Amino acid sequence: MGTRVLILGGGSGGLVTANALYHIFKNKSVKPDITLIDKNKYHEFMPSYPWVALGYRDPEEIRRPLSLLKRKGIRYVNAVIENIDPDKQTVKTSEDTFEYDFLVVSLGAELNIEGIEHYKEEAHHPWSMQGAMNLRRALKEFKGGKILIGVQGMYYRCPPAPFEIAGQLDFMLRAKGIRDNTDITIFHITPGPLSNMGPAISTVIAEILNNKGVKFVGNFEFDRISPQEKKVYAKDGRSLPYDLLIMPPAHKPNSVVMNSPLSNGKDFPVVDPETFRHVKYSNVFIIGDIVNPAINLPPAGVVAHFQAEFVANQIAVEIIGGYIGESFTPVAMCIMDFGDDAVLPMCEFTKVYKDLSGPPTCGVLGRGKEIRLVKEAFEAMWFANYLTK
Amino acid sequence: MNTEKLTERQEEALRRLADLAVKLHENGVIDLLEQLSELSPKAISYLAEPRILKIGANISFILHILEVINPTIFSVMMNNFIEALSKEMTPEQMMNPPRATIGKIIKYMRDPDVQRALAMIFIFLKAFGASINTSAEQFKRMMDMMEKQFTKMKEERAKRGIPIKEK
Repeated sequence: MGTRVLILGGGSGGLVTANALYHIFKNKSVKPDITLIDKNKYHEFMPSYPWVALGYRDPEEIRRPLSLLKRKGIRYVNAVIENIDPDKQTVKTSEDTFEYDFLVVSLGAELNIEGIEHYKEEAHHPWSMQGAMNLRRALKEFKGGKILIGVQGMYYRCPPAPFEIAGQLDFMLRAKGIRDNTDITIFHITPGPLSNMGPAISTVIAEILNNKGVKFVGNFEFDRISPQEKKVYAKDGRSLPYDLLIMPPAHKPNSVVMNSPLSNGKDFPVVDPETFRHVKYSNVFIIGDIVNPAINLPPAGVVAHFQAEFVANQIAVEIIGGYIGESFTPVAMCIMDFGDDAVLPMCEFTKVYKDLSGPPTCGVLGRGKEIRLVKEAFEAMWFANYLTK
Repeated sequence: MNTEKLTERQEEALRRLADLAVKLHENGVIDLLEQLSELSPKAISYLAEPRILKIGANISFILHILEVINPTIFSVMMNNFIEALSKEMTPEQMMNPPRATIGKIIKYMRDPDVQRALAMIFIFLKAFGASINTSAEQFKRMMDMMEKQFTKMKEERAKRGIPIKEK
């Protein structure tokens, strides 16, 4: 029996870890036993959720069965994770209990739909496939009015998504001929659009929103939704009206991890930011949205991707005795499709993440509607590489 | 595609594809593609190196400048500038370059063409100065915002024993 590597989660982090290990050991004489567990049968390409909401993609186009991993010799188990016991090195699931030598936890953030009062009845969110489809139905019925897009805090998946959705909606509503009787407003906790990424990106996004007639309300610290008034209130008393409200739900770290010895029950798990190993259990790696906000990295798939490759490298070093693969690069990129315009921003967070000092080095790698092709190519490459048919 | 019964055109296409595959195989192209395909999953990590990204962002910005400049205005101005320059900068002048004495400088300053050029330079300096000011304000706002985050993060890390590397 080879070294047992157990991967929890079939999102970006888990999928890339499994594939990186497969590639490292493909031609080696020693091979680990790799098992990936996820409660979902499919891996979904989350950056395309807004495209599902806007009808550019159908659900089947942006997901593939995780069972395809079997072709690479990776065992996939469709099960709900119930308990993690790092002292006994076991993970209990709805199907079986699994033992491991190395554990990679990439369970991401959970959407806490009940976390905000009146959220469930009032708000739409293309931050999940179901949410995207619900928004698509609502947009079909939408005849004009006030669209309000905003965030409840800083912790939500894919920070640029609200701006992207606003741009895509503007484009779609113009095509539908009802843009003139529709207001689109974004509210955000930051003073400017993506201003925490610095002026190089923020000014470009502000210009695009301005060209599209999308209003931005900054320093808006969300307080509550008032369904009677159809308004969203900020903590300072300001309010914004809506006919259609789009907001990411409250996010919370995965509850199984939070209830395990990997966490104290209320805070994010504690990892060494240099290695992503748990500070107490060094054979446990934790990556992605479940830990990144605690180590000053954005909750985005691209970060989990690079963490996964580095984690696979560390596991390879331990199994083989030495290996030179991927280092961790704290960079983030994201293709922001605004419908008839698009931006490819990038940020390097080395100083921010290592020394807790700034600013991040950010810039725009490309702008123009042709950037959408890059997103489409990346989507195709993602599936071809990681869930090969 | 119906594989039970191929049409004549499909058969012909498959035969040509098979011939091409043999040629590619014999020339080692298939072998090369096979090796290169192994690099595909690594490509993202290598292209996402901060150094590459910074080069990319700077090239993109230079391209953006070229995009913003109106080609009609730019080409008309540059053509006239080059024409004027070619009239003024003669080989005779190159061999015996004039000296800018105080008297000559005063004479130049009275020249309306020089006055227009100087005015343009001052307009440029004014805009450049204003942009320094705006950039400084933008950076300060961002740093203030980040400093608040960092203070919170440092307290949190210290409380929970997460290591912080010294600068």
